[in-house]
Amino acid sequence: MMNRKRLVALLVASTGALVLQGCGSMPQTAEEFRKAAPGAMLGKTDTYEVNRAYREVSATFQRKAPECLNMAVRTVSQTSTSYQNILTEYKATVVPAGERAELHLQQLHKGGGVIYASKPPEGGMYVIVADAYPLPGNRTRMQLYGPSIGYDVVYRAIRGWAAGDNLGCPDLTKIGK
Amino acid sequence: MVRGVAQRLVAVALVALGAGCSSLKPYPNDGPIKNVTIRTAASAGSVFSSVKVELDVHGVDASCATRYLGTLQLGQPTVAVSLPPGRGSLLTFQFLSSNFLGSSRGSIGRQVLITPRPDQRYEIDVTYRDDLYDVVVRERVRNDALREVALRDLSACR
Repeated sequence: MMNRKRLVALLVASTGALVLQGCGSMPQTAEEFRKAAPGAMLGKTDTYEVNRAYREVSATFQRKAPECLNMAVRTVSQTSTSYQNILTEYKATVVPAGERAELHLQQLHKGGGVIYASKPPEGGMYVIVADAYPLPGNRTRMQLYGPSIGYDVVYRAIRGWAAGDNLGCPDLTKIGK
Repeated sequence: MVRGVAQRLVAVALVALGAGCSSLKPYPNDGPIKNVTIRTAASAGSVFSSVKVELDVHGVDASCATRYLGTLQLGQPTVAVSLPPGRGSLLTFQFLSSNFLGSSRGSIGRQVLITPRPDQRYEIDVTYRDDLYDVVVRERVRNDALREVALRDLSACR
């Protein structure tokens, strides 16, 4: 039997975090997403620090994000009463700006199985934005914005890249699980 | 552009009932020299789920066209593989996960383009742990030391 948390996680993932995006206009930029996420239903922000120099964190994001996150994922789920087949394209963008390095993850469902309440931006809806800020003593502060459930595997991957202690890629088929 | 990136990386994942019912052609692995050693450590992290790793091997010709040669099951901790030296091989490591009773299955792949140098040995570490996967390729150099090789996918063959 599917528990309530898992059901909500599946809904968030399979509908492209529509709950997070809300029924109003969808954030069209990373900055709009940063402003919308903290107050959105099932949205969250998270902050932590890592013992690693900012420039190294930024370099790891530039290497790992395209390698691990620019991909298409097809999910097929079937129960006795339903069948769902969705192709989801993920797009990562890293902006290694001066005062902070930004990692944006966008998600676009293809094939018509998911109906968007409003037009998604080019590349898909923003689902996660992670910002890295330099701190004294070769440390870095991470600030993340995104859904509160369903994307734990991506958050853990980003944390590993930031800390430099795990450079693995997230299994994107685990989103929503 | 998104579609292009996705197609180039060919990291397509599937979650499908019955996805495990495949009859893949085994990779012959009958070259005279086993020049690649693959170490695999995969754990689903739960008694209610499992993960296995497969390796699809494609030959790559001078025009970067690929030809499927077969699949190896990486069920053992160490597998010795023979890849043709001096010619491109496209390796796709497939991580196949399933949960209790197989009600949900998933597959995600990592592509590595490699052109083994003659008389050179390579070691590849493949890991899947806590839903994070990684592939690291190292080349054995002088003094028996290992040098990490930057991963390339098929888009590098242009």
